[in-house]
Amino acid sequence: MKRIRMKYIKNTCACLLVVFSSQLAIAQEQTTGPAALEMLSQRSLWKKTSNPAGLQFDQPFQYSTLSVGYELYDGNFRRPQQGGSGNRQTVHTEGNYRIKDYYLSGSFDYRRDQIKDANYNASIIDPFRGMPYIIADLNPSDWNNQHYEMQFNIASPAYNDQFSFGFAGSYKVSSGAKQRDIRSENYFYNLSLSPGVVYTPSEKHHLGLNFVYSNVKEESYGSNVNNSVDQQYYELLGLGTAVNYLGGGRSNNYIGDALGGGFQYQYAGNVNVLLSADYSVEAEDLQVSFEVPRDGASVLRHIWKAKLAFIKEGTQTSHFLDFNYCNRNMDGIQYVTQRDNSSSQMGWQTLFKSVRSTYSTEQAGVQYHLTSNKGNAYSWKLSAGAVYEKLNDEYLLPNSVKQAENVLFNAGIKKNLALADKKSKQLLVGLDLGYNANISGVYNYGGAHADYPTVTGLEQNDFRYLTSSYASIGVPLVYSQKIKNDSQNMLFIKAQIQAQFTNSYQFNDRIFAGFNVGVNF
Amino acid sequence: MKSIHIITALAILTLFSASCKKINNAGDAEKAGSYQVNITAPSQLAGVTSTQGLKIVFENFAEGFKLEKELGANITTIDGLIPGIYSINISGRVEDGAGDAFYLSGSKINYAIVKNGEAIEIPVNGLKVSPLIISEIFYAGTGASPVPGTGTYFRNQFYEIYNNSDKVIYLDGLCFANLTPTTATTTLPLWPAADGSDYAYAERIWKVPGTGTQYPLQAGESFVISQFAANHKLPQYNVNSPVDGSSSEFEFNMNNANFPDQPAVDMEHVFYNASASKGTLPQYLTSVFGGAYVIFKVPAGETYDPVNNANLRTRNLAGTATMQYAKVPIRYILDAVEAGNNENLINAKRVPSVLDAGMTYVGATYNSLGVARKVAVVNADGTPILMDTNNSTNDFERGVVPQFRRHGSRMPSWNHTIK
Repeated sequence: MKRIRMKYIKNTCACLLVVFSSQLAIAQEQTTGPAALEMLSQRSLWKKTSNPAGLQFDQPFQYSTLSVGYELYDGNFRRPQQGGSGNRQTVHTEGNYRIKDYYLSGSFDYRRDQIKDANYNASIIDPFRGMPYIIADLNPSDWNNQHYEMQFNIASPAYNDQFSFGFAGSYKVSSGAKQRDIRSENYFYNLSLSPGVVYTPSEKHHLGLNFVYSNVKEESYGSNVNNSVDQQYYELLGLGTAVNYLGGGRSNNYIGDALGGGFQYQYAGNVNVLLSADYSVEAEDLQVSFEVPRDGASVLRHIWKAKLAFIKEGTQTSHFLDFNYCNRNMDGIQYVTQRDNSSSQMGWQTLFKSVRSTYSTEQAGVQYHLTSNKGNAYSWKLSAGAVYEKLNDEYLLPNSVKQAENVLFNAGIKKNLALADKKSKQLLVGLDLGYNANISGVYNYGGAHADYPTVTGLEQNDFRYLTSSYASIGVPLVYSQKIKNDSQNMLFIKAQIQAQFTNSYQFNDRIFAGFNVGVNF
Repeated sequence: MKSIHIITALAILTLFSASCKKINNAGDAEKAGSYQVNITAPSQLAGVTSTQGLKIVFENFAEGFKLEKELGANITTIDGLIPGIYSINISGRVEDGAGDAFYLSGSKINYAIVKNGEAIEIPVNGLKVSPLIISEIFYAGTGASPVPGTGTYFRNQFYEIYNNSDKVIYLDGLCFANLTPTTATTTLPLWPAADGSDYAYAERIWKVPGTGTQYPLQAGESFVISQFAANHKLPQYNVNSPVDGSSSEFEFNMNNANFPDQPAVDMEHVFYNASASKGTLPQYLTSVFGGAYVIFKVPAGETYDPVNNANLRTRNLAGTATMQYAKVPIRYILDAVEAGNNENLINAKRVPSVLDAGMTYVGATYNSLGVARKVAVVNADGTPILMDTNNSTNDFERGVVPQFRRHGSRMPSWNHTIK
């Protein structure tokens, strides 16, 4: 384990060096404020696709940013597997650069999560990543997790003014440790690679195509520190269906691959339009134990995403309109296995497999932004949108269902105040309001163990959360100024607070607060 | 340069093919549906030709699924089964042509039902009824005591054995053994193929001492063998202990000065790792998760000496360990009870299904709870006839507070506390 940790640290240091060295070079050329970077992100349509070949068509200006932050959250309006409270420390850096006609961008993120009193999870760092086959114990526990994520994108110039090529990669590494019996020590990585091409038949039209390959692995080692007390734990099979065990948990090995592709079309005229559609298929297997592996379960995910974005830019104001759609259908596959103790085999035989559960999440949303332009930033910005989400999960035999339908409305305003010309002192103040209206929901457990805590504690409380209407209010504040009057480097201090309130009988509220300090080069 | 291209292409192809394999494997799975099987249950008992009317029970412990049905005349079709691993048990009373009643049973344990429409044959035979049965077991131990310096406690383990017949039985020479693996595990040992299904494999064997008629057990009486026959409720042991073991008839004395010999009669040590010596362990502890226990008696005129007869012992052929286990002939065994962590450990059964087709459990360790056999009938004198269908899942109440001589069973007259 120590060797693996050292390897992570070395890889991380190497990547930091690369990112920082590019930032130092860029620092000579650009000065950027927080509002300008936000506008750049808003205008960068290709950056929101999975095709790196089109990044140059976003015409990004060069920038780099480095920030550190601290965030915390508290409140009982949460899913059972989320922490009752927690905090995280973050480091974020990103930047872009041009070498001749090639465009490069990269980012690095570090996050240390201290999650307090999370329930029903003793085997996975992120219980919401689409893997329902986990171990749940009955002891609310802290988790200490660390996450590293490195990304890069390369985009070529257009060859023959028609073909641009790109390549993107991301590498995520996480480690996690549950702090109470059943302890779980976890190591996770995800590698994702995406080559792409954009064909430009004319100046205003761009057609893109890209391919995505991704590989994921998470290892989880369960054990008890107090060997005198054997813990009750449950192998979750979905929607509360579970098998109970006694002891110190077990070792789980999750290995997954994903293949996918995307198609994009951009029209860059008076109105900038981008249509993109992505499809990926992901399979992830759970193998129980490393010594004598047993097929535990598998999931097969089909994910469709589509996006239609419009940008209409004027000298005074700009309009941004996005339509998004996402559909994830997942099959939960269980195996019938039997231990063969004969001398020729000595291992687990898989006799049968079948789809025992299906999970479907559908999201459709629209978002509109209106900005009053000020240079490459904005003076004020209005936002409004709505997202419809439908969850439809089913355990097939014996039948259980869990469904929830919600619409989340949001509106926001931001004002970029110029405090002083000296050092370009600015204050970005905002107000975000949201309201989630629950339309419908049902949870029916039809299995044999309605008294299991996986039903009464985990699924019923999760269902209550998913079907709760709530209101939210958020206030973001960003103060920024140049480090020196003649410097291009912009120092910024960000603070944001958000509160969610629900009228549900089971929950009260949830508060999020964060603080960041950073420099834009 | 060319070789770099070839290597890159090969790497991409390998990556692509590995990904496709995983995705194709998952994509092959079809949606689960309920399955059907066709059961035949031929009688192996002379004079009984029909098994119609016997009860057949399908239990899938992992799924919590149970289905009961009556057998028909020839083939019985069972619908609505979820594919999985099942314990299938047939039991019930039938009459032969002369009108005599027989209790029949048959079973298939850990049977994989993964083919729709499969034909399954389960032979049924007359049930062997034992006069001596294990009536109560407390193996889980007790949680930490509030007394400083004391912790979790397992020395209060005990095994109670009951005379379920209407005759006096002499206990002298009755053997008690725990089978291997000591804790239920799916990693089962590999035994010599020549043994067939003729043996159970014991880790340690003890024997009731005596001259042959020294320890009579009357009908309706039971006796207790304790790991340590002390009053466990004393502060130096564990004040939370649910039992006072000082009235036990026997104890497994391992000559540990810290837990000195008690008034209960010491069991005679027979076998441990090919030796008659007790070894150096400070106590005879069976698994607090639940073990597999047998009582057996060597038939008159036969000798049973697994220490000196190498044919009556073996090592686990699955590994290189040299630990020796005693072979206990199945025909010697009067009763067997299998206990495990919980119902889901039935896929780790150590006891042949002919002795115990089920498994009992208390669901936790150190919870001060035990298992006790259910009452089938109460005699006129108030003593019970306990349930014995060779299926401890059904025969035992689980999670009971341990108690000596429950349901009105009586103490033998030679117990040291009433002498």
